[in-house]
Amino acid sequence: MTKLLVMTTISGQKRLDEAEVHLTPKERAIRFVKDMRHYPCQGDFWGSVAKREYREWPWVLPLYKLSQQARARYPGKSPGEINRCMECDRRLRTEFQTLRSLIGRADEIITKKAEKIALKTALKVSTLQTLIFKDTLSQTAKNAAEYIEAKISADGDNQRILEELRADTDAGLPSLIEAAG
Amino acid sequence: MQDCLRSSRLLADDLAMLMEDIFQHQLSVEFIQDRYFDGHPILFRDVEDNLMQAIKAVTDAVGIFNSYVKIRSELFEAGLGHEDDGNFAASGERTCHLIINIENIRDRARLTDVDEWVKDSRQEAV
Repeated sequence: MTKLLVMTTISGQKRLDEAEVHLTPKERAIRFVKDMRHYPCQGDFWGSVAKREYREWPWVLPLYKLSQQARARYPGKSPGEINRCMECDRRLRTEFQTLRSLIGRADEIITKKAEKIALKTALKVSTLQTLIFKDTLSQTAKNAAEYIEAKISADGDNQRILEELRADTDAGLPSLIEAAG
Repeated sequence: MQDCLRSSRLLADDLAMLMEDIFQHQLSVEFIQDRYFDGHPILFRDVEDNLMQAIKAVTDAVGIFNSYVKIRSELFEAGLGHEDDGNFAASGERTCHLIINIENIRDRARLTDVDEWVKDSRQEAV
C-alpha cells in the first residue's frame, strides 16, 4: 500500500515536471509576478530570493526551463536541428526577459511617479490652505470696509455717528432692564 | 480678489494636471497587465499601495478645492459675496466653472509612453 502511494506520488510529480517544461514565457512571467506579490514589500521579496539557490532565483529558473523546452522541441543532433533548437531557446528566453524587464520598468516608473505626485500634491494642498486663509481674510476685511464706508457716507460726518451711538447707549441697558422688569 | 481668482485658476490647472498624470500612469499599468500578463497585477504590493495613496492624495486635494470653490459660488448666489465672486460662477448656470471634474479627467486620461516602456524592455532583454 505504501509502495503504491509512493509510486503514485512520484508519477504525479513527474507529470507536473513535464507540464512545467511546456509553460510559455508569458506563463513563467506571470509566475514571477505572483512570487513577487506574495511578499508585502520589495525588501521581503529580495530577502527571500537571497536565501534561495542561484538556480532557484525566480528569473533564473525559468531560463533553464525554457532551454529544456527548446531541447524537447528539437531533440535531434543534426546541425539544422541544433540551429533550430538554439534559435528557439534564444526566442523563448528573450521573450521572458522582455516581460521581466517590463515588470521592473513599470515598478521603477510608478515608484518615482507616485513619490513625485505625492510631494507635488502636498505642496498644492499647502498653497490651497494659504489661498483659503487669504480669501477669508480678504472677504472679512472687505465686508467691514463696506459697512464702515456706508455708515460714514450716509451720516455725512462723524458727529452724527457719535450721536447715534450716544442715543443707542441712552436707550440701552436701563430701558431694557425696565422693559424686562 | 483678482489675485485670489488667478491663484484659484492656477491651482485648478495644476491639480487637474497632477490628477491626469497619475491616472495616465495607472491606466498604462493596467494596459500592460491586460496585454502582456493576462490581467495579472505586475507591481510590487508596496509600489501598488504607493500608487493608490498618491491617487487618494490628489483626489482628496481636488475634493477640498472643489468644496472651497462651491462655497464661494454659493456665497455669491446668496448675495453674500462680492461682485468679483461672479468670476467663480459660470454665467447663466451659476455653477462654478473652476470645479474640477474627477470623472472627466479619468475618462480623458490617455496611455503614457507604453510603447517606449516595451521598447526599452526589449532592448534590455536582447
